[in-house]
Amino acid sequence: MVKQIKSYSISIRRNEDSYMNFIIEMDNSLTVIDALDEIRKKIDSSITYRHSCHHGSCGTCACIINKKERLACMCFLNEFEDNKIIIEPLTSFKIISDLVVDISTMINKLEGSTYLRESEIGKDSIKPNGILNWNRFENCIECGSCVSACPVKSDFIGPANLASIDREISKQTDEKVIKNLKNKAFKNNGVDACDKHYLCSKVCPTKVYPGKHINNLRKIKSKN
Amino acid sequence: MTHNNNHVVIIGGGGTAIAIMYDLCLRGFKVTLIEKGELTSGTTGRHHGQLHCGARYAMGDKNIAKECMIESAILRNIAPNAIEYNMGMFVALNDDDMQYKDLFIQSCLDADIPAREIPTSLAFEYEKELNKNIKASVLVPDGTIDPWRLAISFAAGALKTKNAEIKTYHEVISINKKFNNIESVTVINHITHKKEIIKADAFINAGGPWSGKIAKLADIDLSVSPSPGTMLAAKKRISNMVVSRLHKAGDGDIIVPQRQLTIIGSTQWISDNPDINRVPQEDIDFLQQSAIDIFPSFKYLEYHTAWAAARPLFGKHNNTEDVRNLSRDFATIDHKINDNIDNMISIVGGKATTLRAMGEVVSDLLCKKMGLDIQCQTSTIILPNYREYYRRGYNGQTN
Ligand SMILES: Cc1cc2nc3c(=O)[nH]c(=O)nc-3n(C[C@H](O)[C@H](O)[C@H](O)COP(=O)(O)OP(=O)(O)OC[C@H]3O[C@@H](n4cnc5c(N)ncnc54)[C@H](O)[C@@H]3O)c2cc1C
Ligand code: SF4
Ligand code: FES
Repeated sequence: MVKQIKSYSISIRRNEDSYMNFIIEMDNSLTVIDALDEIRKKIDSSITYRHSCHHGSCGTCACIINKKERLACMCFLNEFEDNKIIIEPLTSFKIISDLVVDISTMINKLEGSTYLRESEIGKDSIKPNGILNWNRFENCIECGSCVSACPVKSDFIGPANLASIDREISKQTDEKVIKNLKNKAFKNNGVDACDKHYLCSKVCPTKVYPGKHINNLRKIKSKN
Repeated sequence: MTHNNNHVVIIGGGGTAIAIMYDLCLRGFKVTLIEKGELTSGTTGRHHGQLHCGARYAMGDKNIAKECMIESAILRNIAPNAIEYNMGMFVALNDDDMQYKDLFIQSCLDADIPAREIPTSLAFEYEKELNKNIKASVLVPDGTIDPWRLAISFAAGALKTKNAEIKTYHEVISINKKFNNIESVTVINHITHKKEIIKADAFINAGGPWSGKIAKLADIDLSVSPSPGTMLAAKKRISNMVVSRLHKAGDGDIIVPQRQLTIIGSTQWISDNPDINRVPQEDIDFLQQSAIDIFPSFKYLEYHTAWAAARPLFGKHNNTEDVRNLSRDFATIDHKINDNIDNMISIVGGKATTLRAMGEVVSDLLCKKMGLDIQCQTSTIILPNYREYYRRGYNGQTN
């Protein structure tokens, strides 16, 4: 890939449904989040957006970029051949300001007694004293992309929450807790509300494949 | 506990500012934190993610190493959901590296870090992708941090006390003095586009690499050099442990695995601007080769991304008295001493791993200045889950 400085036209949805257009010169190996930083620093210090890690791990920067849910920090400028980028906030969440949405409505409902899971590599290897299992963080970075992309908008607890229920069932040993989790998944606003569009799995940036978890829960339900 | 209804404004919303807020809130202060973007949108969110047990610093500075050991153990206890704890390994790749081995182990032990040499055959059992030519390997208690979730756990803890007010998307644009006191700060609310004046009894500048610019708003000359570094992430996790080169701490010698990624870092250059908008290609090439030296199969991993962030490096200051804790890698500056301003403190430097200690030191200094005798409680209280930050009212301006 050849690094080039190119001019980009970046349209950002501001409050009250108005869009603001910015023209900036950027190194095409950088990302949309770098472009937003550059606009904020050089042109308009008032644009508001969320970001933290710049490498696809925190989940704060999800937006709709050219009509698709994306992590702005993992969206490289060189993929936009016509150099035109439209950035909008996620749908399904209340907009706080510009690209900032109130993601708490999703996060408050997520299950998870721990954010850690067993690492898939080195499972059978010897481990040092004090390490029972190699562990790592969950795949879900709680970005909200799946919830935004899901076409089912009425009374549905949403793909991220269902995925978190399925993950938690696999970690739990306490039958009572498992039963509670299943009850949540099998309520009317749970798996049955899913219309099987599976856009969640398409947009998820970290391979959670919420659709797969939803189907897993369906299987458990049919066995019950 | 001493009665305390003092109001403190903290400028900045990185790990340092958030940890200070948490500590002060537990001591009963009312705290307003002001951050121009999202929390941790400066250096904190972007760091490499190593929970330093201190081994990296053992040969260079025993005090820093000791502090990292203590703090990493505390964080593992109080913030378990923000840390992958799989330990770490230092590997010697050549005869040059081998020269440091005994000194390295002894220096770790001197700093109370339980470093232990293990047979290389065992090292390959732990980490199958390791370079088969390694000459020695030493086990240490390193780990991986989720930078955002660690800092946010502290923010959740602060909100839980009901003493914290977090104003994100608020930028401090002036610091208003009256005689030898800071009376207020003027902030611009980027959500409403309106200006606000916020008064307080004391002000803390925790602006990381921006802290020099912030000090300037109060006509204070604080010498801070933003010192950026690059990190490179590859798709796929190559190891469970943090793996570092056993030699004198340098560039590109730490590999931090995280979730499904392998992250190699870092480099270091000096910039006069804390806002970093470039990732040098030579850094990326260098980091890739350095990773391959340790894990040959890194070569076949798909590029994920590369990014850079600026360390807040504390520069010289004329008066030694006003700079505390030179034995640490952060400096706490009481602006009364050099700059004749009674109620402002700056803190510069440090690491994500030592955020809690930085909170403690600044809060101790503030209590001392105000004649309050209130003890720090942050080392033993288990922090709430980071998700509590949202539950307690994330809406850009939490109360
Ligand atoms: C490349 C690199 C790798 C690193 N790796 C590690 C590691 O592996 N482990 C580790 O422990 N540490 C690591 N560190 C160190 C660690 O990241 C930093 O020491 C730490 O994050 C600094 O936090 P801070 O809160 O002091 O600064 P910052 O996080 O930068 O916070 C300062 C905040 O102030 C805000 N601000 C600035 N001006 C204003 C204003 N006028 N008004 C309002 N807000 C303002 C900024 O937006 C910013 O969010 C690394 C650092 C770098 C650069
Ligand atoms: S499941 Fe994927 S898309 Fe949905 S919130 Fe989690 S990381 Fe984001
Ligand atoms: S900034 Fe963390 S995922 Fe994009």
